[in-house]
Amino acid sequence: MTATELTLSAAQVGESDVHALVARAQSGDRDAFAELYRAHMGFVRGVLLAWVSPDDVPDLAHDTFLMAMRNIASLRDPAAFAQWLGSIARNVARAHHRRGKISVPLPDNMPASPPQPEPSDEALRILKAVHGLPTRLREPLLLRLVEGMSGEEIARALGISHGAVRVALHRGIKLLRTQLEKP
Amino acid sequence: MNTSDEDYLFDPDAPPDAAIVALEAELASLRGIDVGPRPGWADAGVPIARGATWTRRTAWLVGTLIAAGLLLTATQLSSRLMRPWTVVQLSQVRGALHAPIASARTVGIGDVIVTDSLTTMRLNVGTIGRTEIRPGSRVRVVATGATHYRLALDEGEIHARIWAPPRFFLVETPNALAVDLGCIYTLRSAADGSGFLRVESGEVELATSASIVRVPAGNIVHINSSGLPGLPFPASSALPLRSAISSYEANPKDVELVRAILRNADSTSSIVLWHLLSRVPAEVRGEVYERLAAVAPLSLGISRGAGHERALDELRAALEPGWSTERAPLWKRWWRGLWRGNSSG
Repeated sequence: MTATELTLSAAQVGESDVHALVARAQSGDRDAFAELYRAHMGFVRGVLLAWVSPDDVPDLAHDTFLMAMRNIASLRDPAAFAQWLGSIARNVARAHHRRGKISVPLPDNMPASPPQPEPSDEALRILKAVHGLPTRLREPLLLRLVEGMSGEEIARALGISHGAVRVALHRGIKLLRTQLEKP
Repeated sequence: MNTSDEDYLFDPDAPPDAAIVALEAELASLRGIDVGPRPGWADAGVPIARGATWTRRTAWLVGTLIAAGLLLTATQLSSRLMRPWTVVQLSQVRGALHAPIASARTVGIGDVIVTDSLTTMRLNVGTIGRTEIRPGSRVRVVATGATHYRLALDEGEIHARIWAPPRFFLVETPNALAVDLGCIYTLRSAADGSGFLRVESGEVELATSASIVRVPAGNIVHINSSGLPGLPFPASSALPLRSAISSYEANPKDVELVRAILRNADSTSSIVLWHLLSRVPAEVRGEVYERLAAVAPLSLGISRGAGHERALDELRAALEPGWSTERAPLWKRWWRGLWRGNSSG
């Protein structure tokens, strides 16, 4: 398989595909986990952006997937993979705030995080405004505006109802506009 | 309500709303943050379920031990003190939920247990007690024997509950050795050896290259990265006293920092002041003694002219019963007393 064929988004990987990939990953298939990684990396990025600075996202995303790989056999409901992954990402972000680092043993020859493009000043200003919003509004907003996920996909990934996502997006945009209009 | 932006907000395939499209464009640079798999990433984490991490050497050792286990068990199980240690995963934290997962494994000398930031594990120490290995820790089994069990806490935190005779269970950190005298305690160590010991029941003797300190129930002592134990203090101490102790431990030669401790000491601080007496320069020792006499009235008629060392010993004997917050029965206190060495404090 070529690299292009492996680059799937969570939207393109259907529910039954996720189920099958999780089952394969749970029996030790690292390629299956790699597909899950690629399919959900945007989602994890969106979740982490709701909690930490963009500079910290690459390493914390890496830690999130590492932890998920180590613990995937304990996931009882494969259909809840995205929700499970999201909660790992939130725990990683919380631990990062608490202690400033995560204890994830890594081999010495692990490559460092690649150099990252700088987010624009306006992007950082908007993100800062999002960080000032109520916590329940941040993830749906960033998953929609940054990752381009639909309301339905957000509902499925976060394990909340369509109605809750609609309310969160509507209210989030309204409050965000108010924040951004402040001098 | 703006129907147009609501539709487009929920469904990116709906007719676009200009204002939201503008927001998406401004945020597009965040989408450039690379969170993809790094080369060699898949080999970094062995996908062991249950959250434990084992070194290859440990996996080989455990396999060999299992293969030889029947023969070993037949000869050694007759002695209760030689029962193998078992590791039982206590719980794995997911958000606010604790999901108990039972999977017992046997560990032995040389085995390494590493917990990630989500996992707590319990190590049953033969039949003499158990140790909880908290998230983000690295622990090695150093020795097991009929009369001693020894762990190494390289990094992280453990909570030990030991019911063996004193001095059977020892935990080494990079800078210190904690010797159990029959108790319940928490020990934390960073990789540079700094950390703390907090005793809940009984007593722990903390030995470093510099000195030995006995820490009774209800007290805490810090260890700095140079291996010096700090001043034991009650866990109930107020923040000003804790801050004063912390400042002194960072710069023990500064007599003004000694005086800050004296100002903040109260009737529960005699343990702090006694240990301070044995460490401060002679020029300020009198002030420490005066403050000790003020907070802990001494009725034994100890004379300051009796010689410093003798006075210290007599003071300790008079004050020590009040240092522990535990009210152990007389037989227990006698039993522990038999096992105490001479600690310099």
